[in-house]
Amino acid sequence: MKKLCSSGYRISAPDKKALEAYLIVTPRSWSESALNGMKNKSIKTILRDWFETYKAKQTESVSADIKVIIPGILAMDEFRSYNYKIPETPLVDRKEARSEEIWEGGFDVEDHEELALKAFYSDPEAMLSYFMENKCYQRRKAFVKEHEATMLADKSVTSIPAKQDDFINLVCAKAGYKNRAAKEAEQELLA
Amino acid sequence: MTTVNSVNTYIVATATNEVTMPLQPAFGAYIGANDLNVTGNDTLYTVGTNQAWTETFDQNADFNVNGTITAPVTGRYQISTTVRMDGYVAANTSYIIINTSNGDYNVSNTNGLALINNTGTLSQGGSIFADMDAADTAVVQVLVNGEGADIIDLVSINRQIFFGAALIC
Repeated sequence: MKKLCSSGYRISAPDKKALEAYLIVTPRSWSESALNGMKNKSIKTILRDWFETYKAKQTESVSADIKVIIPGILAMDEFRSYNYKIPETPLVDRKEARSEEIWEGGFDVEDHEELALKAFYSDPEAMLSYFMENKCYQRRKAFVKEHEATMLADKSVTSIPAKQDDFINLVCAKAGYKNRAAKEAEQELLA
Repeated sequence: MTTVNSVNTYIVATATNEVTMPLQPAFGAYIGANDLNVTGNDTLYTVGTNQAWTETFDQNADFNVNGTITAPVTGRYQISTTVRMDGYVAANTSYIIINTSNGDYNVSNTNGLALINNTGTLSQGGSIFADMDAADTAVVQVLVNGEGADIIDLVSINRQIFFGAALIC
């Protein structure tokens, strides 16, 4: 077992509010799902591209245990890492400090999963950080777009905060505002 | 004609003008065996939990046979599913849900007992066009209520339990 992302990841209060507007799970739980997707993609891609070569080099039957197959494939002379690079990270328009740690203690990964991740991504930890930062960026943008349209249509609104943090804080402080968890809890009560 | 980046061929046009994208995120999968007693008493069940999905194709390695598709990039995804459920006796609500990170899509909401055929079978399905951020996930869930116990089976004959998605734009 190995530890990934033990250096952690911090989000700001407006980040959290924007995420909670859409996510029913915690940011950590979302990150765990993202990591599971990364592990799945790494292992599947390696198997798709190299398993036949690996089998061809064996004289008898091969193990059906992925914990044996992945190190075996990576140990082949002809194997080349994918070096999948991180896309350009979007710049989140933050005013407030990133004060809340959401990856406390990092994430456990099996040895063969770590091998596969490192063979596929140039930097798996940086890739997961990219996914989280992109998630904050996309949800903040979606939140502003969604509520800005309502405000622009409301004649009683005379000004709109120019900065994302201020805008998100303003909307979330309004009476009657509910994030996704609160909305779904309310719907369950009505059902 | 082919269009390539530094690594792969990602758009192919044939001599007869059909265009394919061999690496575009897209998958199709079905459940190959029955999955018994999964819901009926208000239990929300994620299809693939007990009985793994069988992939027909998974072009970009984004699907896990436990039933989770993980979006490789931020974009708009077409997601479709059909689910056959058997064993209705008293159920009055029957849902098929495509659960994405950014929200649930209740693609089918029926009175199951009123719609079953003469063998107690109901097939439901639906399709959505969803915004997904990179690393978001989507799964298919079913929920039946009114039976008093989880007696509803997922029955897979002729691929009647299907899940597929593709990145559109």
